[in-house]
Amino acid sequence: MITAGIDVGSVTTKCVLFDGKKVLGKALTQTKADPNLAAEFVYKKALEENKISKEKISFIVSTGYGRRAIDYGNTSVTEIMANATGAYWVGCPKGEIKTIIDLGGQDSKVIALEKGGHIRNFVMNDKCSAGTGRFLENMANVLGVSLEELGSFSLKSKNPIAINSTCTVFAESEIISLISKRAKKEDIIAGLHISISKKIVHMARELGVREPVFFDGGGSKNIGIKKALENALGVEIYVPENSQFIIALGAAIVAFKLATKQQK
Amino acid sequence: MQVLNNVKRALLGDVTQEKENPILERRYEEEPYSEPGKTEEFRKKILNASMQNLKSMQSKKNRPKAMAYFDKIVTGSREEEIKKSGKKVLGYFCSFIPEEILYAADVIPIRLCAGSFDTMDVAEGILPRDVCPMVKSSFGFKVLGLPLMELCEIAVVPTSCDAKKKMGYYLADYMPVWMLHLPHKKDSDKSVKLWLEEMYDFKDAVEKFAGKKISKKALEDSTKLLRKRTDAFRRFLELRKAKLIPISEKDFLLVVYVSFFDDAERWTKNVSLLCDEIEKNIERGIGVHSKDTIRLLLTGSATIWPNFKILDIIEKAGMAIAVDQSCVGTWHLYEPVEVEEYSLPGLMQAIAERYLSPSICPCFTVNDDRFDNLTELIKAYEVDGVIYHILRLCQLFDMEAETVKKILEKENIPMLKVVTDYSKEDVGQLSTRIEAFKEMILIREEGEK
Repeated sequence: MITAGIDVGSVTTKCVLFDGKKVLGKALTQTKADPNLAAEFVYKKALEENKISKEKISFIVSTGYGRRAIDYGNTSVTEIMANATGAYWVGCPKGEIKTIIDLGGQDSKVIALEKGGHIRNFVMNDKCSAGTGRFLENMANVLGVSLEELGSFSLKSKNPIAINSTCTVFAESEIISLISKRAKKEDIIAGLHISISKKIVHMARELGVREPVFFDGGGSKNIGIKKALENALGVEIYVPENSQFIIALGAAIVAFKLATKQQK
Repeated sequence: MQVLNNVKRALLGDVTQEKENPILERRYEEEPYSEPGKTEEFRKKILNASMQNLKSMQSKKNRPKAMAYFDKIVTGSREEEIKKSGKKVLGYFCSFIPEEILYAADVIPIRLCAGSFDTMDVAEGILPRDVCPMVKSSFGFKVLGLPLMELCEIAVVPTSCDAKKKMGYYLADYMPVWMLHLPHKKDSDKSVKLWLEEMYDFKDAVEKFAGKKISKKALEDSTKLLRKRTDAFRRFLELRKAKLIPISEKDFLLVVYVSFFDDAERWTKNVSLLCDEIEKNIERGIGVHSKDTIRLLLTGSATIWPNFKILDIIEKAGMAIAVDQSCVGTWHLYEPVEVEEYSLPGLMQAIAERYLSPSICPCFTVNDDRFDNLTELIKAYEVDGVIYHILRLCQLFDMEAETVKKILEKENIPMLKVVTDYSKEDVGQLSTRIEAFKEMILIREEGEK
């Protein structure tokens, strides 16, 4: 039996195919203006690239902010549930995961797990984009650096500059004034990472940080943020392979569980 | 107070003989900012928001038929009725104003706390942007000259939270405002004394306003009348404990909201009719949610008609609010005035006690009563989880959230904290969180089985 999980995020849409034991395929695209189109695209891409026919898919679960906007899928779960399920399944070399940090396009969240991977509690940012991927993307634009380069840039910094504003709009003008004062790009970027991590640390503190800590979502690919979070929390953080796909994988696992239940 | 006055008198001569005027009035010559040209437009907007709420509420299965009365009052006739009555009208904020004294003087009380998103914008010309939505919304009613605010000749604002204190000051540019001095340490003897004095001063002010003395008989009658209202309300609350939830939180809050401006006697009668119907429904096994629906408790900042955003989201997620702990819901009418002695001082004492010591407003420095009440409600209404609703910039409820979180952890009751306002832009994110909260509760319950 094969199932699919589709994670319609605010920036990217991801699909993972799963057979109960391993990931059979995955695909990613930009969500842009049409979540439905993006979902269809990643689903077909994942199937075609792995030469799996549509008929073999017995259950599809959608998740992410656009989970309801798509025609695909038998049912949907929230990204919090999908994230917990995916992360718990992937695991971490240090043992059973207790805390998940997810940095997505317009959301950042911290999930506390209890034994067995069940959600004990969670915190999510409110409507403000501070502390999310969108914030970083905007700042990268202002600095004329690509999103992917931010991490390596920040590692060069010896004197991170404190960015006081976490508001995207204010931070932008703060950065513009720093640029005009000829501050080093790497120092500004390192400062931005610290500023973002602070916002996440506040959420983590609300729940209490228990190790091992698992870090996923698009933001986890940024080594600078990982470092900043580790510094601020005083713990080592584990970033899994394909960290951007964990939520889609979680949805596929939920789909597998539901399909198994249905068969019984 | 007397001692102080004597000292003052000795020092200054007899200048303090005359009681100082406690009413705030306009400070400037010029007219304050208002938008009378927009009154009609906004009246329609507010009515639309009400109609939208009602449409969704009326479409729900098994809604008690007796709700029709409250639907009618909230969209209709009360304004004209009050005008025709020719009575004096007093507007007030919060849950601290003794309506007993007002009814005794034949004054119509209207609670002015507003939940309308549309009226917030105009308030920002005067109040800063970073003020809680409730205060901005209410203030906007005055700027726009909207009912029922416009019927009130005077407003009473308790010194509860910072936003209210300063709003009163600005409101005084539009209408006379009496700032009711609410002590912030409610359990101290000094506070109780101060509050009782304040109640007497309030009575004097109401007498002046109404142009008539409040007799012992009148106060006794009004206290008994409102006691009947409390009794009917308590019966209503008791019925909400039914296993099969008999009424939605939206309907419940509408009923309480209507009490803000309805005639107390008629309201009581209609709540009794509603209770009769609900009682029968419970006997017949009729409820508004299915048997296994997750039961939640809603606590925190006020959810005032027509701002039912958070209730919409919870409803759409397929959960039900079994009970709330809110000053515009359960807490507005819950406490009875317990009279020990039917004399004027006895009545005044009882009234003062009712409005101070049982209050669970976070404006009090120590507010353990709220936390005790919360755990009691959780048990009595058998709730599976708590939604802690905070209106952005309502610092007091925000600051108490940490304490509540710790208490609920001990009780092993999951809690979701949401910070939001009257605008609709965060509905998507709130839905995700509330749905995830549901998934979490379901998994928990599965684990317990």
